[in-house]
Amino acid sequence: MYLGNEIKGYSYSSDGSKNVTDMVLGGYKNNTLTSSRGSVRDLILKYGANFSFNNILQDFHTYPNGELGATQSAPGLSQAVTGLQSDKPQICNTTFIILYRIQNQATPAEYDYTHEYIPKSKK
Amino acid sequence: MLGVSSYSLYAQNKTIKGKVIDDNLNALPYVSIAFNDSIDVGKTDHNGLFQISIPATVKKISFNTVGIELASIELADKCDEVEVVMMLRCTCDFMAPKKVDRLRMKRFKKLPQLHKEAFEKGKFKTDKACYTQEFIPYYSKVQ
Repeated sequence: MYLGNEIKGYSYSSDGSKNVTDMVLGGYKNNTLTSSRGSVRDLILKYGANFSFNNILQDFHTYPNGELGATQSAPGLSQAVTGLQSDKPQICNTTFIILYRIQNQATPAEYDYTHEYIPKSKK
Repeated sequence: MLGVSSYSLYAQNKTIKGKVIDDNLNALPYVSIAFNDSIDVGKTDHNGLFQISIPATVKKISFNTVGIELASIELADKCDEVEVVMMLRCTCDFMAPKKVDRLRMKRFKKLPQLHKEAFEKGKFKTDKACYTQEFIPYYSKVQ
């Protein structure tokens, strides 16, 4: 199904391994082709006291238009990188990726921008 | 169960309780609560409820969690029931920085209206906040 909207979500490993047990997507009704929102609320509600921020494997969002935007060309101005700066200290085991569309390719490409994170002490 | 904490280094503390929801009016669990930007004093429970004990002199507290914009509030006197609406963070990577902040400000200005809506739907106990909330621009350097 093609939504025509960007989506944001998280993958999670309930046993703390690298095996994905859950994928959660943010609501996409109010998203657009170039913007999305999402939180880990549903994962916390599912796992209750057993939930751990350390078990979030990936924070991902999609770029259906196939471009990487500011995250690649100007990370200092990127909203995705702003989110990375804010969230990484809380989910330190998580990789942050963009899934973007490649023409004539069934599966999306991945762009890992976790390396753009700058710890506060180095700023 | 409420996320309860005490900060025993200070002689005189005050207790603040309340609830945190997102701008879709969903309760937000495991939101970290801090003062002076870094001193953690507790978390919300699974229903978004919290009860914290902070030094009586502290006015500013902040709320932070994954995927949501940090909310920084300044308490008024006798403000001990704190109900907060937090904004989901937008990826918005294909917009000019100024436009992103304009859109954020537009949503930020709707927070009192959402607070009232939460009250009308029985999610909040109060119809308006007893604190002021600061808008934190992302791109003040380039504006």
